[in-house]
Amino acid sequence: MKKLLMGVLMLVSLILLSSCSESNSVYEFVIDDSYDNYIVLGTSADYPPYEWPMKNDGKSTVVGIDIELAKEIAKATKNNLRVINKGFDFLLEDLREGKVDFVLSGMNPTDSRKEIVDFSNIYYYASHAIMIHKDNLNTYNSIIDLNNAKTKIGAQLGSIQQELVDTSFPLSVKQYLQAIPDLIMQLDDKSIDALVIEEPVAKVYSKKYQDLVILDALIGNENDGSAAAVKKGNNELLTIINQVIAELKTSGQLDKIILDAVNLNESSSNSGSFSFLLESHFIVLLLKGLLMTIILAVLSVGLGSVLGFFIALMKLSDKKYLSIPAKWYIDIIRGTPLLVQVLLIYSFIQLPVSIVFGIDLSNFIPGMIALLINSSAYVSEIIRGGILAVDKGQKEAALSLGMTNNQVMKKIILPQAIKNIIPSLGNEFVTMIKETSIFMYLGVAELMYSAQIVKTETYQVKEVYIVVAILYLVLTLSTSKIMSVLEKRLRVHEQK
Amino acid sequence: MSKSKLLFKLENVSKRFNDETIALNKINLEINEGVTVFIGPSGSGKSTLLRLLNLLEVPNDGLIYYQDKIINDKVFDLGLHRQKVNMVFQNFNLFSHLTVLENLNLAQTEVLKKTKEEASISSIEYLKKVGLVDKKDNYPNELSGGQKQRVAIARSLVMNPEVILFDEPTSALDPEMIKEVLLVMKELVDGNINMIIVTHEMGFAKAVANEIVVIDQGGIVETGDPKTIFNKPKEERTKRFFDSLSYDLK
Repeated sequence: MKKLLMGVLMLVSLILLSSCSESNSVYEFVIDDSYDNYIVLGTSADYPPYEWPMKNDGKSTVVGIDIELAKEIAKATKNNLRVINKGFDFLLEDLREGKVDFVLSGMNPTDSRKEIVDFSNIYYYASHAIMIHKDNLNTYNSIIDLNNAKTKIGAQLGSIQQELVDTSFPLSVKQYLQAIPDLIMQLDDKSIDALVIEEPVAKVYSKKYQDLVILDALIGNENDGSAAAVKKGNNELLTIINQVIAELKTSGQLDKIILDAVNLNESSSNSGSFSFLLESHFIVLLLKGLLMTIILAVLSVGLGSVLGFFIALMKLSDKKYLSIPAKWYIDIIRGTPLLVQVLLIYSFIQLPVSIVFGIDLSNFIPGMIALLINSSAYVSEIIRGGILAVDKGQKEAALSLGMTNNQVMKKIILPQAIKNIIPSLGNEFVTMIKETSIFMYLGVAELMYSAQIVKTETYQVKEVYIVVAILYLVLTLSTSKIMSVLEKRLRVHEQK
Repeated sequence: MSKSKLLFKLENVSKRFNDETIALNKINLEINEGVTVFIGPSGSGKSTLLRLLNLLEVPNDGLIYYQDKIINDKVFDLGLHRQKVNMVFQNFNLFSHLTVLENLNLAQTEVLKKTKEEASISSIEYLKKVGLVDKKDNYPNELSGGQKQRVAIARSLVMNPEVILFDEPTSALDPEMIKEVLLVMKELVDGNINMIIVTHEMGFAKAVANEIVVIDQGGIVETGDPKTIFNKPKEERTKRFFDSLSYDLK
């Protein structure tokens, strides 16, 4: 009965999800109806004016310099374009694994990146800008003032600006984060004193944030600029991309693309605090994220419990060849961070891109496996504890009536252990609701991912995080409530 | 009961806990049909001895026979043995998540493969016998100690056992409830069921036992019929044990 209810709930969720299944991490652009195939672009859409999410005719899409360039490249290869949006750190890994054909993400061709992928010619040379809060204009008159131990300077993690900060400001305190909007928020809060980012990006944000100003430009290496990346040895595609870049440059079309992107970004709304809550588009996005978060948590704890049950039985076994591996498994999983597990499993399990309900299964499945393995280790200890807490006399009484060990487990131990297990399982579920946020990096559109989209599109970083925190809180508090009601009902026949 | 048949036979049986503490040391004992009562001071090993008889404890050495078959042997069908040799516990051990009726039905459906309806018919019959049929839909935590133990006895009886092992069945009960349990047990004696009982109720032992086994410090002190043991014990240790029980404060 409960299983049935659970199944129905899952089905309803999936239908709900698919009914509004315009994807949030995969975007398709039909270049020409006659093209049968797609060329796949990997990008991290949190970097206006290169790429950022935007609502167009009520639909989520991605726009920007790189997207327009990618369309030209798709046309030159006689393909339609599919864009996969994912954390910046995953882009090159995806390229090496062949999940995407090329990467355009305002990416600088650094020497270390050149070792693992091939880069095209640079399509856009950008200088680097230093942004500061306007209240600090008196403190920092020039670049030299920033180089001291009291100044905290930010840059995007793994970017060329990070190297620049390291070499230009050896004395300063460094703050490197993955997402530009988070860095902007910190600058706006004065948590950091200065931020080094690409000039066009700086311009975009200085228009959106009245308090932020561009102090100066930094001259970097003349190779600093953005280029397209392809898998090592894919010279065929690289040649086409270089041709496209050369043609766009000569015809002046590239300049137009850049100008259009900057203008488009300026025209997008930034109408005050929490204004995104008035737009159904963003509400739907966040609620879909919330639903996905619930599904992920239910799946990971549900499947994790099944796996965890067998791990628990193994650890309880008096056969050493079962109990020792189970102990190792639990120790290793509980002793390493979830993010590390996800990254490792993601690189071990390599699946072709396949999209179901707008979810890219090549990301979803490894992520799901990592999460359920993680959950299984914790749940198995909960189950083991629950089983051990059942009074020994119950088992002896059942055995004394001639019941087998299996019958005793099924009919006596487990029905009683479940009362000990349910409350802790509720806690595990609450933990998992929060842990699912790591799916953000994999491009699975759960709540944190939706938050990234909304904050990049609306520039209301702090406000989005507040709303997301409230959504998580509502979810975890109602879970705890449901669990305590369930617990009370289960405890009715407790032996006193 | 005239000429008694042999039920259990123990040869050089030893039991150690954690491979160190000696609970029982080289026990040789024959238990006949009828009612056998183990008596002795606390910690003497009498409960351990009882639990060996359905292998809730496995002996470290020695052989245990039941009706000429070695029971502590790998090929022995332990499930079938326990079906025939049930146990009633000091702490009742009713299945706390099941109703009284379900407690009685469970082993019948699981072990004897009866249908639920067949099982319920026998269960009701035995609940009537112990006078608790009106509690059939109650959960164990809604019963008094005495009622719990009567249900436990009924749960054993529905399996049609050849022997019931009683492990201090009245020790966890309040004094006013001891009698109702002993009365049920007395009825079983009259019903010719084989019983092996560990108890401190000397009056009861005297009244129902065919054979008394006195146990102390992991060994058998002496065996004999109740009259002999209670009136003319041969062994000094038996006398000392009886002395320790009387609280005649002069």
